[in-house]
Amino acid sequence: MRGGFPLTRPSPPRGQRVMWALMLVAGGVLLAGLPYVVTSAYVMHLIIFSGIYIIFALSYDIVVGYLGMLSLAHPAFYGVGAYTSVLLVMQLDVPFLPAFAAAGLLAALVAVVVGYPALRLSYHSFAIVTLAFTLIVRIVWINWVSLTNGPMGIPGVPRPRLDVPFLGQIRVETSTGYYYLILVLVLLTCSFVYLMIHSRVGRVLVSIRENEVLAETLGVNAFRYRMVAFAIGALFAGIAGSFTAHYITFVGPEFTDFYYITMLLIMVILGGSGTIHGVILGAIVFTFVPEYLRITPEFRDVIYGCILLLTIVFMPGGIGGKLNDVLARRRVPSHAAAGNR
Amino acid sequence: MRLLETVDLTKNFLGLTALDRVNFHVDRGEIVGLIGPNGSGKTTLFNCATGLLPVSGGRIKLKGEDITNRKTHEIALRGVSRTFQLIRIFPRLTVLENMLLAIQQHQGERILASILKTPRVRRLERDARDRAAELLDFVGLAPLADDPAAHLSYGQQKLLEFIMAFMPQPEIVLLDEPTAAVNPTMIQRMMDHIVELNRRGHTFCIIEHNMDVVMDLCHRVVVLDYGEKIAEGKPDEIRNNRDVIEAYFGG
Amino acid sequence: MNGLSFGAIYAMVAVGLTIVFGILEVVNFAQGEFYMLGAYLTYLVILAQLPYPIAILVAVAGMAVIGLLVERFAIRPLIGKAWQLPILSTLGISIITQNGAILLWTPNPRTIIVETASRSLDVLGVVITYQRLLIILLAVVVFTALHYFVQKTKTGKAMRAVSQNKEACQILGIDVARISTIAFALGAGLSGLGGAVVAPVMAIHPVMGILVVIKCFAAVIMGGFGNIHGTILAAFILAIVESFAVAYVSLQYKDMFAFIVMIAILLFRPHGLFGRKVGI
Repeated sequence: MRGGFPLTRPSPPRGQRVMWALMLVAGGVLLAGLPYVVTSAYVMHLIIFSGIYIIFALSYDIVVGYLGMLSLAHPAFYGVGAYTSVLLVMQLDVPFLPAFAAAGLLAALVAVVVGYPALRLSYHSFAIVTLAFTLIVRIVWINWVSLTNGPMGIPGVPRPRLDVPFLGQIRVETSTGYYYLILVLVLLTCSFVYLMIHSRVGRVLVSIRENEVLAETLGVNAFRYRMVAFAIGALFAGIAGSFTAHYITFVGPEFTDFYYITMLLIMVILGGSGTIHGVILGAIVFTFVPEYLRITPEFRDVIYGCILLLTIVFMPGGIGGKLNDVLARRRVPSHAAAGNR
Repeated sequence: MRLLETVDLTKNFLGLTALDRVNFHVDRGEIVGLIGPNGSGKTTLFNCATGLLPVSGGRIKLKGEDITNRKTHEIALRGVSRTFQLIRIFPRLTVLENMLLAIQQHQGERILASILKTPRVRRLERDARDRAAELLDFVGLAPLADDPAAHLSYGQQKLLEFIMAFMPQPEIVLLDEPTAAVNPTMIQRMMDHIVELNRRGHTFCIIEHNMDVVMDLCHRVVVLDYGEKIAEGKPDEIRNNRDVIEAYFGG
Repeated sequence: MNGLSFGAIYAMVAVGLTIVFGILEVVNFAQGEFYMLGAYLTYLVILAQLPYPIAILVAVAGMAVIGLLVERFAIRPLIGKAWQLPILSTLGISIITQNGAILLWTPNPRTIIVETASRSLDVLGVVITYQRLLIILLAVVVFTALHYFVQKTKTGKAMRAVSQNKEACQILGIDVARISTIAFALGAGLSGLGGAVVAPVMAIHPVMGILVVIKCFAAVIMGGFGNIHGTILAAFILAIVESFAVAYVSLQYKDMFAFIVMIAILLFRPHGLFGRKVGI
């Protein structure tokens, strides 16, 4: 897979920088004012879910795209995050923000525990073991009735109440409220991922993906970096799960369904693994499109499977990859274009 | 002072003895040549010394410290750099990115600090870039810094792999056939670089098949055959050593 | 007895996986679906009032053909590119097949009754149905034939050679592409056989493949990727452990036992019980 390349690119010329800044401002205004422009509650709902999937998909791309490991454990972390914050809030009266943070941290902790043995295995064994882990976690959700209420799930999850200093208590109850909350979370996630990619850490992850023996020879502790990337991916997946639970006011074993793997793979691969904008695009498109198609879930999955196959065979870099090629060609005309992929 | 030393180093592969109680050392400031017919165990010795292969017997010491069977990255962080017989670089990354990856900013670097780019991290990054620029300039690869490494010619890639080894200020540099499949001009260039870097204080151990290079460059030569050390001494002594000649041309 | 017959079934599917991995270095995530399709093909043949042995043949041959097509169009174009791609391709096939099966046949389980098979036999005080006996005997026959094929025939030896060193084989003129196709078709056929023999015993439904294939993955990991004998042994061990666990511990968490065994073994021997034997 093409994956991401934290390019040490030269700074763009001043004119282009001004343009980027203007676009950023325009985008910011649009995003801030969105709830007042969109009138349909249904569309708002989809927008909020796009936000969730952006976080979920980016968290997946960290592991699959940058680290290059085929992890099938992400739905498990999503569910862990969801159940954790719900149980903390409902059983132990923990306020939303700490519970939310705990959800991410517990998911990361689980990733560390699972990753410690699993990341030593060969890549193929790792894929299989993470798949097994997801299935086991789902079995646990269904069978540990005293904790999780079994297959029926836990309804009536309370909506978030944020105790923000200087602003008092903010109750997130309306579409608008949820929108701004997810917007903040998406911005934070994107910033973090962007910083990570363009830092040494991102470079090291890519080096491990490209040639682990060489990276080790250069002094990289591949195992440690793998654990870190795996845990970070799990953390954001857990956060996405937690938000979802408090948005739809429900949590259940379906949160750890294998179906999410399909969805994540499509978003990441078709959107463009290793490109933030590509993954965001993939997440938004694949949240909206299936809704408008109004087909049965099985039919949708058949189509997803076909799209996945076609993308892998014909366009493994995804749409984001194609965009990058176009942009790179314009910036460094003589070199990058010639068979960079 | 003995920088790198092996004591009775032995390596077995499923009944095949690749290294048989090899006693070998490199002193600080030396350029030691490691020669021998194909399959005599030279690369195996490098692989054991850098932790890529588990050892079957004996010890390996770096500056007196026992590094036998240590993990590869730990050995690298203790100052051992190496190149490979078949070039190992990151072809899809740029030349500069390759160089930047050759240096670990500090042992046990804090990952969060790296991500958030604290001032300390930023300074370390700047220093690394400066050092990379200097080294690339030294070998004449500076104009290609932003090109993907895959676009370099074979000889340039070998130069890149070579100069990457010097990013972390290594104690010792292990070169595995640095002049293999390279044109004569590049060979001379490589040799000049090695001489100059040795003059600046770097220590080398070089696996080579090109006898001219070995004779011109090395202070001392060690000869392996079928995993055993059969000779050791100055290049002139080795050139006329009967056992060595027989190993290469006999049987 | 349950353990043995399920061991045989897991072994069939698992050996299919291990051969494909040994030769193509691809983990076939659709193997469970091949098993499921084998069961459905059997069902359809029985529905058409044809005898059971014909059903088995159709299932095996049909799956081999499907395997051939999948390899040719969804796997071969990806060999040589990033290692994740062929695996993701099989994942895609798995998703398409599972959901396609739900669309075609609804999630409701189907059953077939095979007359002779449900009669039972008293062996040394243990009552065993003909079908379970058939499963075990068929497994013995098939694995013996496989052993002979791999050790003695030209194609079999070529397969072993490819699994050891693909590049050398290409240089020597062995048609690696053809061997890969044969291997994949063989793997699919074995899976189909597993589905065909389990059809009279258990309900047939579109997601029956998942839980079985996971245990077969466990068997492949435990027995050593590409190691046929190790995989067969591991499959039987897992099935027997599972049947004991169900009988004496818990029914609810039955599917977890195979994983627990696998994870326990991997913790101490990350390369599996027998390690990767060079070559199948």
